[in-house]
Amino acid sequence: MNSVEAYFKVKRGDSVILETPFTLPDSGITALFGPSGSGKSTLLQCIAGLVSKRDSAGSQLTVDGEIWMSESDYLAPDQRSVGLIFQQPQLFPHLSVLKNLQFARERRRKPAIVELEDVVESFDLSALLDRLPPSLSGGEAQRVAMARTLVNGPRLLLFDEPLTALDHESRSRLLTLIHQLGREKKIPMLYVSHQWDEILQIADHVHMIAGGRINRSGSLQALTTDLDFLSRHQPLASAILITEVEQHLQDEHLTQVSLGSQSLLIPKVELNTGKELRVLVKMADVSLSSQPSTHSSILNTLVCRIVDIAEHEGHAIVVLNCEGQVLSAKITGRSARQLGLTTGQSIYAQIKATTLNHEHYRNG
Amino acid sequence: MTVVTSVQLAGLTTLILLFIGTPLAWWLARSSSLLASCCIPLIALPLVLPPTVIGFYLLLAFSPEHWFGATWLMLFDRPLAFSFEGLLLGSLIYSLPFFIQPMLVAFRDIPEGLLDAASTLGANGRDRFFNIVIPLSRNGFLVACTLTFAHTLGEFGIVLMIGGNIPGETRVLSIALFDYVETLDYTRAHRLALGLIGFSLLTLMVLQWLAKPGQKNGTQQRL
Repeated sequence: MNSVEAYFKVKRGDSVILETPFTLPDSGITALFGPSGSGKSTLLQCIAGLVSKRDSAGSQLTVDGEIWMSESDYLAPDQRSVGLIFQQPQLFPHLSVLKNLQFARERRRKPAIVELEDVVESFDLSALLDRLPPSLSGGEAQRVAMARTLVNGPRLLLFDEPLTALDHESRSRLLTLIHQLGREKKIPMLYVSHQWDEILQIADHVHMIAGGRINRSGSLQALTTDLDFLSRHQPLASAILITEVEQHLQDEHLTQVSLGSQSLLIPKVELNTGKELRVLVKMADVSLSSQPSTHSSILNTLVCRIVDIAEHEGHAIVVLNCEGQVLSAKITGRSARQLGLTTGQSIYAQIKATTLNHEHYRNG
Repeated sequence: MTVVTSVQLAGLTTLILLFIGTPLAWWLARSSSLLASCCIPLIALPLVLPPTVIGFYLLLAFSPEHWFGATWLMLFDRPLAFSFEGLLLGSLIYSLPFFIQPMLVAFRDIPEGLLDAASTLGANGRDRFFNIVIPLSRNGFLVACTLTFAHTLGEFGIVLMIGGNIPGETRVLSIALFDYVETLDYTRAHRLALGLIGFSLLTLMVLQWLAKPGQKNGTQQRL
């Protein structure tokens, strides 16, 4: 079910910079992906009410049946209960971390998603409470900003490229927090980014936006296995395999994860046995073989079935089904012909273990 | 007596401008309307005009022959020219830019994103103004009030034009100093002049000391 139904139309001066229908499912993380200047942030601001009534004339927005924007109505941002996490943390510099959180708690109109005490605990803020925002690191400040938003009891959570200004480690940590939120809290979340790897790690649904218009929507899995999408957006082409941590091989610094009845070895992750782990497999890092290879430096071989093949500028993109999950391989057209690949055929997919991306789980 | 009149005038001017000037500066800082962009140079005019020019027009307006002066006379039964009220009114006008300019800088310095964040957290306009804008403009207020107070204390030209030199009513320090020099009473002139220098220095030092903690939040302002 959709909790947000909208049609946005935004003008800047004389030009229309956003004109698109929009929906948001009532739970899970929906990603809004597109290049800079495609209207992503403007769309978020529309939902939050930060685009003026005049600039957004002709827009309609309904949230859980309540009209927020229409011909005749325009709900002010402070009446909307939207949690917006900005690129910059936007903490009030004259208030301590604790007072920033209290500012949000005092002004909430809905029960909090998380109580202040709990958010301090889960976001690891207890040592920061008396500090003033200018003394915080970028990652700390963004954690406080997220906590402040949650304490405010939002009906929707919007993220506007919240990790852009952060270093690698803080990004990983926050991505994990956002991923957990998406799992645990039953509120609609919209995550704007132009970083595809972020989206692969946390999103359930994806809207693709370009030139102020959403031109494609669907579940992340459907999108990452769509041949047409893969051939047009090759740099984005990574499959996600949802695996479960099976065991750690301490001596070899490897972790074994299971994918149905098969398993993969990846560089060691700090995650308990039985936990879910998203493994990213880049299309270009998958090679195919008609026989299981034992004499190779490649650690991982998965038995797959070919679902679809497309030739594209001298390359072949092969979509594979492995234990019900889909991944793809990009090989040369010549190799494809030599192997005599056909749809439905069984094949061995070789994946270089070191290329599997798990970075963001290190701190989780 | 002269000191009391001076301090009363400067204090009242500052206090009144705090209440009128603050919302005016906020409107000027936020509005992009034609009216606002016309108002800014108009308010700044006393900064560049000779004080006597303003004094001259104010004197004309205050006279009982002018509708403004006549209305005042009818309402309060005393003339505006050469009265403390007239002097106060004049001070409000010529000190306005000294209040508005630092406040404009302070208000424009507040990041839009902070106000957006406050809005999405449920703070309405009034809430945002009192709990975000005012605390973040603390240094702006300090500078604005000090400048207004000090400038009102030191103004000479306009005071001479519209206030005259009535002891206990319109006789202020700058005029008294002028009188002492005119009558060659250098001892008293020295005492007064040195007193004013001392006071001004003290004010600036206190201001600098007060403004320091604010530098942490990145909205500091210098004189």
